[in-house]
Amino acid sequence: MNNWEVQIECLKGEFHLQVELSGGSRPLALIGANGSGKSTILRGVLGLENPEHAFVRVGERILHDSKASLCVPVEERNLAYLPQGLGLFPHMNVAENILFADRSNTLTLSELVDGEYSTTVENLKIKSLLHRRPEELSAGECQKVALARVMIQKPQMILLDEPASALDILARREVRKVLSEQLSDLGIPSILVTHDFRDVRDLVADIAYLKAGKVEKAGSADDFPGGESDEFLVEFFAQP
Amino acid sequence: MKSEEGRKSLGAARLAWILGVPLFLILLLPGFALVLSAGLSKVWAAFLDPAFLQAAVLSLTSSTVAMVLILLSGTPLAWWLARSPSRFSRGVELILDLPIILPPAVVGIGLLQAFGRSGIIGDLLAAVGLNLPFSFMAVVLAQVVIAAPFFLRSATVAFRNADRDLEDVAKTLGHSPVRIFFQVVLPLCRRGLLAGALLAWARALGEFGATLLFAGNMPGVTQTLPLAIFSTLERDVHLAIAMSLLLLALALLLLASLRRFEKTPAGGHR
Repeated sequence: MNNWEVQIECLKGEFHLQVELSGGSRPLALIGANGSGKSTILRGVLGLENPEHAFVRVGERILHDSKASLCVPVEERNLAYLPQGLGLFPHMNVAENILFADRSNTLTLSELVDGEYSTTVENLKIKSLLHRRPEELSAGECQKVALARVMIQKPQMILLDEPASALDILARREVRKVLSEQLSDLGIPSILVTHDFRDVRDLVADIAYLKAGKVEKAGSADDFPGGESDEFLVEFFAQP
Repeated sequence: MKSEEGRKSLGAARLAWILGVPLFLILLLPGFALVLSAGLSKVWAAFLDPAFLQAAVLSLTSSTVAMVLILLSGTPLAWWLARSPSRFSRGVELILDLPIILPPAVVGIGLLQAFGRSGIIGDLLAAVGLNLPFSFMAVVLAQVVIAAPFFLRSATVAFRNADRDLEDVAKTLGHSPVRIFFQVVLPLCRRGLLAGALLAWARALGEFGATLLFAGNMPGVTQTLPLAIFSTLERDVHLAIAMSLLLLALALLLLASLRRFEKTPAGGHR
């Protein structure tokens, strides 16, 4: 049985999105031109948008089944979302950002440093950053903080929407390094929207190629660059 | 090439400054003239004048009450204006700007026609024992109507520009809408809200026209500082000038303190 499955159908004017995706523990990279529906899928899974038809199952839990009129609200889905810029709150310092993932609002800074999560803080090497603000951090450090927050949240799935796309190439490399080191250790399934082949390569992700609201091709990275005629795919895999 | 362009834009900046000087002087001169023409002894006399003290207290209390009303009800209203996609909210936004472009005297007459004894809800208010015109609450109401649009505008823009991704993240972390509003949205929009509040408060302190028509000019009841200055002008010009200077100082103090408050890093600097 797959770890998760997602079926989404939605109509936005002329645009018709209809996809079925599923996956195991390996990350799935959603690639495709702008407007092919990548972000809409992520937002549908997260529950931030309400598609006409949807079936979302993560682990054993069904989050959305429009046939059974079941739709778990965003707040109760327990999925992690890392949007562009990673979604760190600029008015909170690193510790406050991380502790904000604790719904019950009972976790304290000292527990974060010495208690159950001390290894998380230690492994990510963010102990010295706890009192800084996100704007004072490098891109890689921001990524670490975002992952620390994910670890407190203990989500059932992580959804990343081009988290590093606004960064320059060196910062992007830094973020990619942190992600590839940590994401597999977490063992939480993830979906990543990306425009960068190196993300797919370094995260050893499966790929789903979207074109005009449909999954044009899906498989592991090895299945892909063979004799493509599709212009987007040729260009995507031609990236160094 | 680069330095030549730099020089060119420097020339443009100089020209713009020269063209701007007349307006700058016109804006600056009244304040300057007040400082020059008021003798120090007169300022002290004005400060001790019971009419001034009474009016100053009234101005501060009424504008504080007005600000509390504006912030409590205006913040949610601005949030709704920023987030509602309906055409109805666009229409409401347009109407709410009206007091900005209307002469305050017209607003005062409007207030009388609405809340006055013969106004459209005057009977209703009288039935519950409320007689608003020419009372302290009338002063507050006039200030609210005149000042609120300045806060609403600024707050609406702030809410509209807030990063929605961050709100979405807070939702996925499982937080309630109320907690998200107070812990994420409000702090993110802090600067815009503060700037709007400052502008509205300054406008409320300076309110004259609508207050005069709706609340009258009764010392100790409805006579705010601007009205007190207007009345004093008839009996003692120099005292009025000194009072004006004190109002100017009060406005500057307000401006400076809020500016400083805005810059404190504890509340988040960006």
